[in-house]
Amino acid sequence: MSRFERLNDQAAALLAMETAQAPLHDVAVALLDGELSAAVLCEQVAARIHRLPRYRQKLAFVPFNLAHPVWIDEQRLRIENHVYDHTLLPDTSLSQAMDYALKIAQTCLPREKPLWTMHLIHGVPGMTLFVHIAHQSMLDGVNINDVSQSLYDLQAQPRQGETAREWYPRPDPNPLELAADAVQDNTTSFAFRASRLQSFSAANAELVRRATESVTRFVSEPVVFAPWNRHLVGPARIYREVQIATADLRRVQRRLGGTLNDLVLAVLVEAIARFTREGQMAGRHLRIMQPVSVRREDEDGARGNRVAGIFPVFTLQDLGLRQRHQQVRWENESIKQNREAQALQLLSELAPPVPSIAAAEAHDLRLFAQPNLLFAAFNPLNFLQQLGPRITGGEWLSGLLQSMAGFNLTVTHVPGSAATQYLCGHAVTGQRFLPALLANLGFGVAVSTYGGKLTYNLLSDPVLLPQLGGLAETVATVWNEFEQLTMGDAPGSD
Amino acid sequence: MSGAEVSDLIAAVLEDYPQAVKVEGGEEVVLRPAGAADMAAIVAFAGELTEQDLLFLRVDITQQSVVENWLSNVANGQTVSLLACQDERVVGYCTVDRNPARWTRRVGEIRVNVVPQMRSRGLGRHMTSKIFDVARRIGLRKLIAHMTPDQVGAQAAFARLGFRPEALLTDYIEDRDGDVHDLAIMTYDMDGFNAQVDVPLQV
Repeated sequence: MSRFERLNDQAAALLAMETAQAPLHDVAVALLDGELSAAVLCEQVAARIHRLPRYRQKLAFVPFNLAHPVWIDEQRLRIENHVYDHTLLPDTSLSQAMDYALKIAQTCLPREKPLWTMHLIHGVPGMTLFVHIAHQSMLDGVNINDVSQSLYDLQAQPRQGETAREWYPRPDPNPLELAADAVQDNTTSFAFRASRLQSFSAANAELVRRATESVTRFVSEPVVFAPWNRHLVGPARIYREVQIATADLRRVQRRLGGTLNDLVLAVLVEAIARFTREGQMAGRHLRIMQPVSVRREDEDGARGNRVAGIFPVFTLQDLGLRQRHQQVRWENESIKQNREAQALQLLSELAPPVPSIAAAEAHDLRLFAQPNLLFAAFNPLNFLQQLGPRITGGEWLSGLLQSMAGFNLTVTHVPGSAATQYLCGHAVTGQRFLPALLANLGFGVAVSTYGGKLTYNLLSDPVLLPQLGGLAETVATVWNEFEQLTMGDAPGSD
Repeated sequence: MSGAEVSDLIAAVLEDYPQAVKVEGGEEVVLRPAGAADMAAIVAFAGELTEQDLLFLRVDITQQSVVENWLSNVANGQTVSLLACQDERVVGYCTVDRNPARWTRRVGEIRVNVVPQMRSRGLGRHMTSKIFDVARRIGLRKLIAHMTPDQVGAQAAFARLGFRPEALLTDYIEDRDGDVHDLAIMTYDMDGFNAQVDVPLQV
């Protein structure tokens, strides 16, 4: 075992896939009542950073990429170097401030520092925007919303008696220590995986069989490229949102049956079906990647959460709203019954470890990535598509893969508090989340809830999907139709 | 679901126990169902809690009659409780209470408590996860957990399972000293808006 905390394959893959055009950090935007200054926020972060140990650490890369990077303590952590004030012109609108937040989020986090920043945007009357950015590789299987909870309170008065604690960073390891530890860790890691395979239970063998079936679907149902999948994403982003009261969603859910997740996805899929009706996707199918948190337990006890991907597929043929809802409900139920998320997570854990040299610098070294690295990052095929043009003569690879596999967009669920939260005594009046776009995924959705409202946060590359406003309007229209449809139904009548 | 069906489900779930788990530091703890014979051990457990812990207990388990009532609820299937034991000593418990009222029969309340020496070693998180699975498997659709807004460790453990703050009730709790506190309620809805997979991956 390593004496350091080493990135797992998934986190290492997230680092490897990040490009200047496609930063892979989570971005949460909280709308705060009143004016909050960076100095006050710094004090709060200092008082609570012991609950966020990763926020005091940075990456140390291993010489010659012998293994994935490890987390080491930041010797010169200055919280004020991670918290920024931005003052816009007076009477800036919320939409203009959100555009500014998008610009802040465009830049990759510097890798020689702890991988987080916080920004306060001033200028919107009576409001401060709190933009919290953290790299996906440091979030340990939860989303940034869970991390933010450590900073928020449920009462307007911040918790009493919380002050910055003394903390002494461990000394930096030297390159020789990192290399020696990597060699030792690689050896024990191989042995550990081999022993796990030997003690494989029948139940887990069945899970792996199901995972193989799931992966087979990628090839048997080739992705149909949407307009926003035409080429790799650029750096610019546009954002639109649609808000629905969660009480209204629950009322419609009770009438249609199924879960809230089913209804939320049915609205989105129907909107996309209508929006793409004229193009090459008309009547074909849509494949979505949904990151989900999987609890992982082994014989030593609870070992925390991992993010796995599930890949529901939906026809885009014309369907009535009830049929659309049924389609989504069946697909979600089938994925749940087959334990697809757990199966894919298990498969990625059992695969031989990814040579870090492939993960770390694959595109520069012009190497083919390992399949399990791709599983580790949820999105095997888009990564290869991205890699294709970078390797000698790799255009054929991109073309081949584009025709046979991949998915169209990610839809991330970010459930939040139903109760009002506070940051440094300022009420959080709303929350927004910006999904990461990468490779040829020029459109993504984060669905979040907070304070009795559900928000579809839609983000796109303006070149690949300039009509994001039109798509947002379609989402709102579809939702209104669902409401109308169920107006006269008795609960559970479907 | 009838009472007999629920009893069958509880019996099936408890067949998975006892289970040994390791906490940080390497010590082993055994999780097993609570039963009528555990009265003295639970009262002894309560004796290990600090004055601050006792302030916020929902019921006073230092009292034998209260524990007796708890264990009778276990016997009649209204409550399912797991004890964390080191030999004969109880070092923690987790419990899910089903509310027998017809209109709240889909709701279960989860409670977890650990002796001070075993805190911050993963035992509370582990038991929270286990009792969540018990609650899910006995057919409860909505789970709630009560805590004070200051109990940030508990909030983090429940958040990892997908629980979210649902409400803050002001001046709701009066502790043993007569002081008044707010109550935070976190909930998990099996049919709600989630980003979690309910069933854990066991490897």
